[in-house]
Amino acid sequence: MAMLEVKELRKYFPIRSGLLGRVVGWVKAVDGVDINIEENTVVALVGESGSGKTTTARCILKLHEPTAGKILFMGEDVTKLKGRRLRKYRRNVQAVFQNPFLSLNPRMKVEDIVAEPLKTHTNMSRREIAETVKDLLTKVGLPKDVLRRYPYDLSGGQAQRVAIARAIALKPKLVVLDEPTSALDVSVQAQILNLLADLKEEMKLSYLLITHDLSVVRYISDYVYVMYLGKIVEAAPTEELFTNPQHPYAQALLSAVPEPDPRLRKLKKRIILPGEPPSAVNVPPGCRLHPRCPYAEERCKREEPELIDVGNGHFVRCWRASS
Amino acid sequence: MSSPSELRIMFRMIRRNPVSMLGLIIVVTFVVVGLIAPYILTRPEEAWGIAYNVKDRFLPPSLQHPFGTDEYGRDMFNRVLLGTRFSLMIAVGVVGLALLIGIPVGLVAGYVGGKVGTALMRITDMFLAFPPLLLAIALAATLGRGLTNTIVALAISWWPWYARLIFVQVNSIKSLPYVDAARVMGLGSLTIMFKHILPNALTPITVQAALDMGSAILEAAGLSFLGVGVPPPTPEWGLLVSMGWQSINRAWWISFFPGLAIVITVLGFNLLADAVREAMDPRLRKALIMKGV
Amino acid sequence: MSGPDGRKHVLELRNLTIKYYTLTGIVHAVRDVSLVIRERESVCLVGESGSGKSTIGLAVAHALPPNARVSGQILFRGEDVTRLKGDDLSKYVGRKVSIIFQDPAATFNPLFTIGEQMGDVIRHHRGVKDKEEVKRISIDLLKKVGLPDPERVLKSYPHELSGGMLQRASIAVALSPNPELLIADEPTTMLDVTLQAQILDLLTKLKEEFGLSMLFITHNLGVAAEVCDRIAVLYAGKLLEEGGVEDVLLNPLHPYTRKLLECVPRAHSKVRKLRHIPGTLPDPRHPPPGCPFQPRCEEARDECGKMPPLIEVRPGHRVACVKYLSGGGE
Repeated sequence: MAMLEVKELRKYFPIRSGLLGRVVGWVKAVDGVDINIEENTVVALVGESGSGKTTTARCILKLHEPTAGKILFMGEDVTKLKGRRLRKYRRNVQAVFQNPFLSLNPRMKVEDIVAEPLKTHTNMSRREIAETVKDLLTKVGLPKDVLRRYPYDLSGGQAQRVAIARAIALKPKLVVLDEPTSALDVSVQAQILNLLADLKEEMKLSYLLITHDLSVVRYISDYVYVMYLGKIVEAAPTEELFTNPQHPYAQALLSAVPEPDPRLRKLKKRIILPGEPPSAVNVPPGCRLHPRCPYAEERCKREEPELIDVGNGHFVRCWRASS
Repeated sequence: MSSPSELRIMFRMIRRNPVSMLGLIIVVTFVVVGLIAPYILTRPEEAWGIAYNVKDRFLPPSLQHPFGTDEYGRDMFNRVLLGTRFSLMIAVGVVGLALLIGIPVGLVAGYVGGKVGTALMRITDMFLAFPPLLLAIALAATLGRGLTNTIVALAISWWPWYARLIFVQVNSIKSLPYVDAARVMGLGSLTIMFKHILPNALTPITVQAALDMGSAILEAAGLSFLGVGVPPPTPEWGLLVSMGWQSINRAWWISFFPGLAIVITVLGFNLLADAVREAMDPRLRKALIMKGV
Repeated sequence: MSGPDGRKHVLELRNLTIKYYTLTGIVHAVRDVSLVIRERESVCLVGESGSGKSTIGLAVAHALPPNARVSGQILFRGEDVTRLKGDDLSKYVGRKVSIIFQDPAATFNPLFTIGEQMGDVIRHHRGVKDKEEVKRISIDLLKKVGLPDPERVLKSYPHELSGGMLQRASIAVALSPNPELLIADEPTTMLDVTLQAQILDLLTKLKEEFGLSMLFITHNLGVAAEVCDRIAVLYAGKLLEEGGVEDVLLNPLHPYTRKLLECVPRAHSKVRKLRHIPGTLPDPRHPPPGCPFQPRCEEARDECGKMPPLIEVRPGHRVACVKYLSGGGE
């Protein structure tokens, strides 16, 4: 039993039209997703726009209510929890968002931002909280003089560190990282990635990393789920996925990542998917990739494959993998 | 989103533009005079309208009476001076009350959204559909004359604007990541509304409200002029203008000076409003060329 | 002027220095940058925020905001275009030099169809008057950028097209005056990775087909490797290293380039431990004297207090670092 289990998660958004707002269709953002996250592991959820990865994360963070499916945390069903009974879950599942200047309240000082979770969930005295805040800032590599500053006084890297300090304040079990370094400069990205890796070891955290950047995935994650149009199309331990991707979409995604090293570039096998992904309103029948897939056969157009276990914890949703 | 350093930048921009500076000076003068007026009157009973001086009726402007005297022999300079206090009270009262009603409506409508939000905004829209001044006149006429009634009538015709402004702000703020972060942290809706959303939604509103005071003064003057606002003997500027109207041919100064006070004050607010608007335009700010930093 | 292989210089930047006057101080965006782009060559300006790369692109396209002050020279085919105005300016910008932006929506006016906007450019810059001819040229260009239904695209408004299609359309518009130089300012940063690969392929193909020179601006070293012949590394407004793209990426000479390569995570190889560069980027309003990377450089010495000139250490590979000043080699 994993620490966090997501079973058959579905999230559909209604499309309304007309004066009365009649529902005329559904955007099937997440359409049957299963995810398992163990303790002290980094799981990555990878996909492009429209894949449903962000919506999945928001369901796990309970910012959206799922249309169907279950979320189990430490064996307990948290899918329908609301209000106060949600508190234990909230203490244990936190988040760091993409742009720290948008995820930190611009009118709050750093010390108040980091203290807020402590004030909300614990009975600590003001002095204890102040001490803890100072410790947290040290942990994330920030000098004490940022305490009284506002987010806009900080650099991108510093602001993201504050967001991280806030996320780990309650010693959560899982931190959802939503594109944690995409908005940062290259030289700062590495600092933050290393910080996240160190904190994971030190505090025995788990991360759910949501990103489109495969190079970040390869660096810090242990297990990867690849999503396309609301479904998981491939899942495998990281190195296994990167050295042996089997789903055509995963192969195309990987081959599309630009490579600085000229020697490695020459070795890259380019798989090009023509066109763009269709919208999640008109999901193609059968396998969702078939209109763009270079290997599509008759079967792919009619039947949607299940996730096939190819061993080593590697799963592929493709008819070719079953042979 | 306005940060403290943005206010500083705004001040610097205003200082550099002589026209904006003029607006700032007028507004500051207005506020200061309005605050101290009752204490610096040279002829307080005349100003308050209690005393009459029949032998000094209709005197033209002179050293003794810089703004002349009116039909009751009361010194106009004192009356206009005291009128500043009333204009200030009206300005603050109207805008303050309108904010007090409008902000909660807009906040709840924006945050809760859905049917409640739509319903609240429809009510707001209904008020907005009336031409504001007509609504104020109708309300004032219904409530009767009086300082408080004028303030209330104007506030009731004004609050929908603020409700709408706040609604729009709240709507865009509530989808920002720091609100998500607050929810993920486990904060309750009320806490999120008042601690995270409201302070950030207020900033553009407060500046707007401060500058709206000019329009409030003008509208109140209009109401008093028409006879549905502040009653005599209160020396409210609009009322003073209307009272001098009958004698306009032989004593132009009775309407002129209060009228001038209105014009200058409202102009000051408008100039300042323009300057602030320019200062808040992000492109203009970045593109400003400094000759000799 | 021409280079060693006989190819003429299309663009030359000589001691280009650009400052922005703002209310919070003077921003030194570009400091004494000299660079050459030859015919049919694509040069990548690579750097992080504050490096000045976008500013240079905007300067060449005469698209700087009014509070910018340019000193030094921008030469197009030998002619000084730094301070062009009026008629001369319109013969240069939009005709000889085109630009595509990060956000394709910025290229288009939302009120007019793609066809109308492309038509404007073709009529104005190529002097084509005949409506049918204009349409033929437009459709031809849209096909070349890989848009499947050119007739429909011509009739569409910008908001009716997806991000990828709009970016392709903006490339078509940029190519419609038959320019000699294409400036691309982070054209794929906002796109998904598979779309990015398609657009980069397209640009490479078009560069060959149209015989274009390209000034490509990006912060992503991988993108630079995919699409450029030469790469110029900028930091805090200064040019630190410049050379053939394979040469610079395989044998980086400047400590900053080397550190940058070490701190980029890789998708195509396993990285054990990512090195990172301690410290932060300098404040562009108060740039330190000498080499801007000195405060963060492990190999910094006293001599770094005075900015060294660019030295050709290997053929075609220049670097501005005291390590390579005469005598003090690696």
